[in-house]
Amino acid sequence: MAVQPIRKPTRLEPWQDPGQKPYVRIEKVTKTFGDFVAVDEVSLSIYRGEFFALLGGSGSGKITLLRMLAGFETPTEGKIFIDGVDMAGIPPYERPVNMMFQSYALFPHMSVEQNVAFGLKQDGVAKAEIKERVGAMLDLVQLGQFGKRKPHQLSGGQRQRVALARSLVKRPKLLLLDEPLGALDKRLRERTQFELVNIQEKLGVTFIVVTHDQEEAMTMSSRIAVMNHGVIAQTGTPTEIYEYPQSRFVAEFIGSVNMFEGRVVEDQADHVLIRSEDAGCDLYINHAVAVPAGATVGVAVRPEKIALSKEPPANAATNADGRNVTSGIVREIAYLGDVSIYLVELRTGKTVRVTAPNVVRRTEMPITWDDEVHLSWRPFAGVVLTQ
Amino acid sequence: MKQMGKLAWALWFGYAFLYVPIALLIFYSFNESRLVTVWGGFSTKWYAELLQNDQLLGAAWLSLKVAAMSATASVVLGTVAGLALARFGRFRGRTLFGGMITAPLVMPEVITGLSLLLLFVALEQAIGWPDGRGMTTITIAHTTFTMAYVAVIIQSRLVSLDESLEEAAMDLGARPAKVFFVITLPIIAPAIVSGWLLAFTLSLDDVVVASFVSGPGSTTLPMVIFSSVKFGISPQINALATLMVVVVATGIFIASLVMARQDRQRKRDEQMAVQGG
Repeated sequence: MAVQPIRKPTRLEPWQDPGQKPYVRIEKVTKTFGDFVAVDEVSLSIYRGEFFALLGGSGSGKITLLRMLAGFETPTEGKIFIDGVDMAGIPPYERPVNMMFQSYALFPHMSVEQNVAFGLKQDGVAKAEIKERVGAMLDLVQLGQFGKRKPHQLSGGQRQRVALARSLVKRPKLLLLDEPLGALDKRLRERTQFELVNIQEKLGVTFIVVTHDQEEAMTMSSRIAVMNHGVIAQTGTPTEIYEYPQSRFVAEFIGSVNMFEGRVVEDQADHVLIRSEDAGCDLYINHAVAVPAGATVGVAVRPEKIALSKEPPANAATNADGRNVTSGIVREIAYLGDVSIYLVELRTGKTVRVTAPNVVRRTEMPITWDDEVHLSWRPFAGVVLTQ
Repeated sequence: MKQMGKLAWALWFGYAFLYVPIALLIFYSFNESRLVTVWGGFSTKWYAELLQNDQLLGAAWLSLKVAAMSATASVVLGTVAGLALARFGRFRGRTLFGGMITAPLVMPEVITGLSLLLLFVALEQAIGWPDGRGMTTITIAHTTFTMAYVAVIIQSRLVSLDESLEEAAMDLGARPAKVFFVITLPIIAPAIVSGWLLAFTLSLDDVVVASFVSGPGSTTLPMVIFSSVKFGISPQINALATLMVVVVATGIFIASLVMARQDRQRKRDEQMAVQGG
């Protein structure tokens, strides 16, 4: 998977700047439903203008966390601060927060205009101003023509944009989005991702998005918190999460990964050497890990970082003195157009996944089924996982 | 083809079973003869006589009033009960309460009527209200047993209503009471209307409960019809029943026409949405 964060890097990201105050502060928040712990002592700081993604499977607690921010659930323990104000006891209708629901929750008996105007009406905004702001908002989401329609007269993509307009029209400082693109088809989803980021940058609103789709989280967000069983497994930028997963769960949840088991035989300041029965070779990685020699660790290697060749690779290619080289037999090939996926069975019996871009057009592939191939990767490719 | 023939027979038999009695009733309402079951030639005189019969007309008017009032009251109470059942969340004994609201549906009417009569008598002795039995007591009694039906209808509608609609309204700044009147109520309005109609019909039908709790001078139409059977049915009853069947049939016909039209409109809208992309 090609990971290209579409955000331009700024001088210093707010979460790296100790002088910045977080806009949303979640402090050791726990939520239990009976015996079930939905959210378990989660702490998070989210800064003004961020596009923050809560990523996790179903039951990971991400939606419960979002609903606590909106005020629909009360934390069993812990505190939530928004803009420095403790949110305990403040009902949803008094929070400076708006939410876009997964089902869009458009009011079926109201027209598009009435839906968008609803929030402003509750605040007692003057009629002329409501009309103007609703019009501007509908133009922003390119629905200027559809104001008089009822929700059931709109397509899925249009409904999604009405929901977005309705949640943004009150100019909230913080917008919560529950699977905002979940109900759209793939093509529309890709286009809408960019629209969403554009609108967010244009209005400068802080977005917190809940999603189960890792690709969506990676393309849109400035930072991602990966959640699992009510706990945050890792927080970081998309690149950090993908390239430096801190646990097996994160490595396996984001993209696909080959996991080798091994024993640390050498741990130096600039490299670590791991003997792996799984891989059938020694694994050389150019970063140190603080584990005692002899400890069992996992090594994650992404499929696109492994090179395939019929001839044994030259030493220079791996730059690791013949380590990080193993061999096997091609069992499956999936041609996806831009890339091909190879499943290679190593001599050790382990199956390794390799993706290679189809740079050259070819009808006859140089590597084909049942070929004996060599797999190699560079010292920076592997990530040692101790958890 | 032979199979079709058998099915057609089954169809005719089934519908005959349902509608022959009603057809017969309508047919004999145009009977010249005073004897209901002996045909004496065509006449509309029973309709004319019906319009002169103050007792029957008075009973019909009372029935309509009681039905309208009790239907309205049971819609209010039933909506509140349905709302509580659908939205209160989980609590100890929820299933028990859920079951208890539907119990009047299966309770024998004789028992409902008797228990209400005992209650009214006891109340009258204790606080002097209700003063005797009449329209008020019939209305209260009808509200009691029709409310259960309305609560069930409203509850099932609320359960299928996406709760995030109410949350969205709250999120946009509406207080809970406002959410109910501006969002929930308009959306469940069709269920409320059908609940009202059902309660109205049930009240109009009832003879057992009304017999227990009615007093002198407050006789509902079903009670008049029921009691007049003892002295032999007058063809006026046939005429009245025919009028009621006509009114009900027209009502159902118009309702289904409106619904069919809305359905077509909805399909057109959805098509428009798909094409509009």
